Amino acid sequence: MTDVWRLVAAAQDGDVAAFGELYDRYVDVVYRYVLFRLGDRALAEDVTSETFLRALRRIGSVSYQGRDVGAWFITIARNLVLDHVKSSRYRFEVPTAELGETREEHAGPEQSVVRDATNAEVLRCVDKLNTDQRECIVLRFLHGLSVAETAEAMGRNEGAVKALQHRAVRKLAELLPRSLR
Amino acid sequence: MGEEREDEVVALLRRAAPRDTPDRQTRDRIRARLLAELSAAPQAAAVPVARADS
Repeated sequence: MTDVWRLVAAAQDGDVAAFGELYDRYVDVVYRYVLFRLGDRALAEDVTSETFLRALRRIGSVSYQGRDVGAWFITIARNLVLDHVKSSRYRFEVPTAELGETREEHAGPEQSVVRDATNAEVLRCVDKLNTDQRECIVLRFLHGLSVAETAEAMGRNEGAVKALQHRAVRKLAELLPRSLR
Repeated sequence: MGEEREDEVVALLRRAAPRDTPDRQTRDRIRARLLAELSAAPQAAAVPVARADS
């Protein structure tokens, strides 16, 4: 069992500090995912907060499956995002407006502009995928989850995720200008 | 569509990954909400499942 799962076990035994450590480890991952999906910092804070509250209430239900527990937090966050989308008729889209804040500081201004434009085009094309393909791509490549973790987050089996990923990447290869590489 | 192009697409996706992180104030506000929840309902957090020895 990994250190993280030992923290989960301790939290399940009522160790509040252990849950605090889990929070410290995963708050960035959860916030980044939620902000990326909703594109609003205040909303991202609310949903991130609710994610950890829900995780706290349900910590007893999670069991070791050999995966990073981060996928479990993302699953909770994803469900909350979907609830929000349903309740507010929020259009699911991949936001591109805040890309400028993600540029690497050591890049020159021209390189940054080119990279931002490239990233924006990539995300625009991701937005053209169907819902399941887009979700798969977002979790797998934009948030770095494994196939198993993506399957868990999406409530699918690993074979279905591999197939979704394959079709999505092929579709993106068609959509993206050949000049982008 | 060749595998080489698909590998390029995956590389483009990974480069486009968001890097936003909450600032210190945001992180602290979320933590404060959690602590408030813990204070309000310590039993729910401390005893999440029925224990054999209870």
